[in-house]
Amino acid sequence: MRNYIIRRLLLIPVVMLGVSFLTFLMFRVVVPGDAAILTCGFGCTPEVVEDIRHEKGLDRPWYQQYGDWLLGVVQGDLGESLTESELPVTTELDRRLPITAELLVLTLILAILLGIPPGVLSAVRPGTPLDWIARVGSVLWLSIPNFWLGILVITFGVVWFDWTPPQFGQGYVPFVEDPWVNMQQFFFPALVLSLGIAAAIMRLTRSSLLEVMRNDYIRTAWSKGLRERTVVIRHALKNALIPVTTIIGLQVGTLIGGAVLVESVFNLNGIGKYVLEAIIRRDFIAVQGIVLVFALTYVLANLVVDLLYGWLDPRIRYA
Amino acid sequence: MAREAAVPQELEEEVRERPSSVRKALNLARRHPLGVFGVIVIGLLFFCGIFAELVAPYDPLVPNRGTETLAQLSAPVSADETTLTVEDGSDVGFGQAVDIEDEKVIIIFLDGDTLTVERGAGGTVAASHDVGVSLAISGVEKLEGPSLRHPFGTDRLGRDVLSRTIFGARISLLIGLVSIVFGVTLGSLLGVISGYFGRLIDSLIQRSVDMLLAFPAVVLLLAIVAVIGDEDSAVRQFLANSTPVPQDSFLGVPNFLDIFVVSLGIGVAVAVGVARVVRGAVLSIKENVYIEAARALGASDARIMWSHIFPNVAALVVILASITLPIAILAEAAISFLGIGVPLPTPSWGADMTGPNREIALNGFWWPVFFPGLALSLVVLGFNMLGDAFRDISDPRLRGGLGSSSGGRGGGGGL
Repeated sequence: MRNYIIRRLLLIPVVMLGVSFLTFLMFRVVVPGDAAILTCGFGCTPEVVEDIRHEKGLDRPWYQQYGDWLLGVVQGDLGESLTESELPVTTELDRRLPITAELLVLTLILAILLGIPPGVLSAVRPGTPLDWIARVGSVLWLSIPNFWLGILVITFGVVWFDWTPPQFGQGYVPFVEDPWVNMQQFFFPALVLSLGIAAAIMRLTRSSLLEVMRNDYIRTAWSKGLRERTVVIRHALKNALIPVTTIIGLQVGTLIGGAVLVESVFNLNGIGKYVLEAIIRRDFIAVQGIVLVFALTYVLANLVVDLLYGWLDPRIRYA
Repeated sequence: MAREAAVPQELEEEVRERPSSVRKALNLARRHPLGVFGVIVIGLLFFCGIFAELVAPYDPLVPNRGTETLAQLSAPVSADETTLTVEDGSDVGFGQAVDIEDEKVIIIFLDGDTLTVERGAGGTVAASHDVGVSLAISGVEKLEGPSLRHPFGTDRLGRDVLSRTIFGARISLLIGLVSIVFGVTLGSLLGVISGYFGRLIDSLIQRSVDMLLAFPAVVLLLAIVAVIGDEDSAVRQFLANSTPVPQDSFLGVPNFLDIFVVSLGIGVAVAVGVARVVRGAVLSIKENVYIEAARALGASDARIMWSHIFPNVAALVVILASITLPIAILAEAAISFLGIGVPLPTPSWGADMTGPNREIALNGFWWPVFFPGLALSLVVLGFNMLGDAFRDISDPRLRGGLGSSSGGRGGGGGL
């Protein structure tokens, strides 16, 4: 078990190296148009572009650029943004990480709350109208693109209730400072982002619980005269949730992608919006840094899921 | 005993009758109403996409003009008159600017019976008039709510939202199909090579795929499309200069080159997933004895891959393509929504949901963002429902069930 964890942890730097190199490759080798041209702006001449390139070290050979950046990363320095601000990438990440982290955590909580109970209800009462509503609802939520839903929330929030998310006016308000304003900022983005995942969780909970309920040990539990609640929750649900945890873990990538869209819709200055801006500005130093964070999250989430797996089902052993 | 005897007889009858395929289809449709809904929606998508010019009531790119009566002339006008009285009582001189509901109207000349009015906002209007004829102005129908004339309303430039939504189906379909064809071809090529040769080539391809899968899909897509869609990108230059891909308008779609480049970008992302799945299938296929036999007969690697391995994964590839089509359509909308996909005048669903349309939506003009999103949701919903119905039909454990969606992996259900 310990060896397994160590081996998985050792894999992280490899994945991160690969991911950052791929990003570098995409932005430095494939595209001739770079950040220098975009920073240059009005009255731009080729000489000015050359100057900017030289100043930012973009005219050096590619292996030198990547090597320097890598050397910085090892020392905890992700380089400086290529835009006019020249802010260190770590500063930006520091500022924006809490926003995206809160969004994602809240989304996961909502997705689990909205996904598992309907899934269980629909599985223990298959064929009833309740089941039908839950199933049709889940296809519906799976199909509605979250960015459109977000726009609808904002548009009709203004039109019908004269309400706008407070993020538009002020900056990020941490939960401990003012829970009410914080929830106004985050509840709807998280809800919008969570619906699709909740639907996936609901469908999987339903089918997996139905499968488990056919097992012999469940029949035994019934014949012992246990109450339905005990049979379903104590005996069946724990086993049924094993595939559900995998799905939740696999959704982390989807979640981060969704965060890019939802942060853009709700104007939350998180990492998702940062990566979008960085890609548009061809600020590949920033993109490389952000992608590192994403890859780290993804690998760690998968590791946690695998470990949870072993905890939920002791028959699974990691050699 | 009696029961046992009855069964073969029943079966025999069934065989003798042999229901026609129409009958079978109707039967299937009755059991899977949601699947039928999916078929209808997808049919509508293809119909609107292919026949957009015939279906759309207006041109999606041209602002609509409507005629609106501004004022009624209360007295006859002759050519030597210098002012005329309009019905609200005010006098209007020739060449004079009049403010009518914040829009400057300048009357420029009077020629016989014809009074020409020029609006400050641009747009010349002639109101022919006799005695007591009305002074009319035709203006751009900006941001009109849904009405009979414009069922989905008009956008800020006066373009018909219904027509834009219908043409959006063509853009979505075009990008979806091009990216799927490109992505599935590239992906299965990589997958077959990777699975067949194994060893170094396999590791190289699979580790690259691993890295690409560690990117969040949206971020990967944004990066690829931004990179190859760049004005100076090699891919774009190559497509523009060395291939017959039309640069401007083609098939009634403006900025065709941009659309094509975006499709290729989505295709690359599609290929990553396809390569992984196809490789898995190839790994088991190449263990078959007939592959060994072919090799023993001296067939080349290329021949084995093309005529012995590829036909075996073809079905899988087709299924992958049909599953990926709605994802590609959704991907196009998402990146266009984020401002990196299809450029503006092109009526893309994603692009229409963002930018100026989104800003004016905050002022209560919800229709330009609402309907493209509704169309997109319906299409994805249709594909999902059809997919669910297919899974229910193909999974014997679910047969005779509710005829609708079941769980994520198709297990269980129908108890």
